[in-house]
Amino acid sequence: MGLFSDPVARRYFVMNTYDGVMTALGIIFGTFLGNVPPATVFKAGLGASIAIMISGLWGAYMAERAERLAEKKEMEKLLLKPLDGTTVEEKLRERVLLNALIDGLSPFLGSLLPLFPFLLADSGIIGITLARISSVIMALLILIFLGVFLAKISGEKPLKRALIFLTGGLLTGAIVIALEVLF
Amino acid sequence: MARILRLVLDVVKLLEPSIIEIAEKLAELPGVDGVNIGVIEIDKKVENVRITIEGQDIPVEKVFSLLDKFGAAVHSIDEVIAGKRLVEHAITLEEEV
Repeated sequence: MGLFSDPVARRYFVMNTYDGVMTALGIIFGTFLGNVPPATVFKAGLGASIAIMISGLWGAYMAERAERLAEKKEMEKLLLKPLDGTTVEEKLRERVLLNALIDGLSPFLGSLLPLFPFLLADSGIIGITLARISSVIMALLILIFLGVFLAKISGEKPLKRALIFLTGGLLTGAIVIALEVLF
Repeated sequence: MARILRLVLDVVKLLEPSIIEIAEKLAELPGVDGVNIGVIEIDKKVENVRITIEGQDIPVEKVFSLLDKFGAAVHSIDEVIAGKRLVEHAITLEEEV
């Protein structure tokens, strides 16, 4: 089974990576103006990444399991026979696990990857300003990737999709920084 | 025991696995020379297919357990030919008319 052959898996991947990146952007922009040490930014991001990963894994597993069980029961009704131990049941179980993994790992990686520059800044390899800028750039690059990924599925122009995703990221930045200035 | 040379089954199956996958797996069974699967009726989630298997010694139990593994339900055994050679259905005078 291809990783993204299932539309549900693809949807989970895009939506949850987006969630992860936006969480990271919220943390990055939220600490933009204050004098927050890089280690704190990274740890806050790591904490949030783990939380959304567990939330994704658990939530998707339970929801997907219920959906697939209902699907299995419907199939059994149509065939007038149980599907226990069949390849059909095996595939349904595989899909539940795969979707839960995608739902958990996508936001985890989506939020953790852009925060890596802060780890480098904490070790003194790069400065805090460079860490902030490169974090934002990384997050925006992931958003562009998501836009291109979706455009490839829908057969639309990648640039337009990427710009729409990018707007979400920039809007987050604008709102969070405006709030920081206000309070 | 006499060898089974042809088996025709009326089967209801889910759209997945496809008839291609099922035909390939049935054809790989020992004693099977060839398989034909034709769709009789197709629904939203299930399809009714006719499976014709020919071979020198068709392992009937293995055929049924394979179909069971794929979640396919055998509705009826529509034709069986057993023995040393293929004996086709003889058309009677009544049938001709």
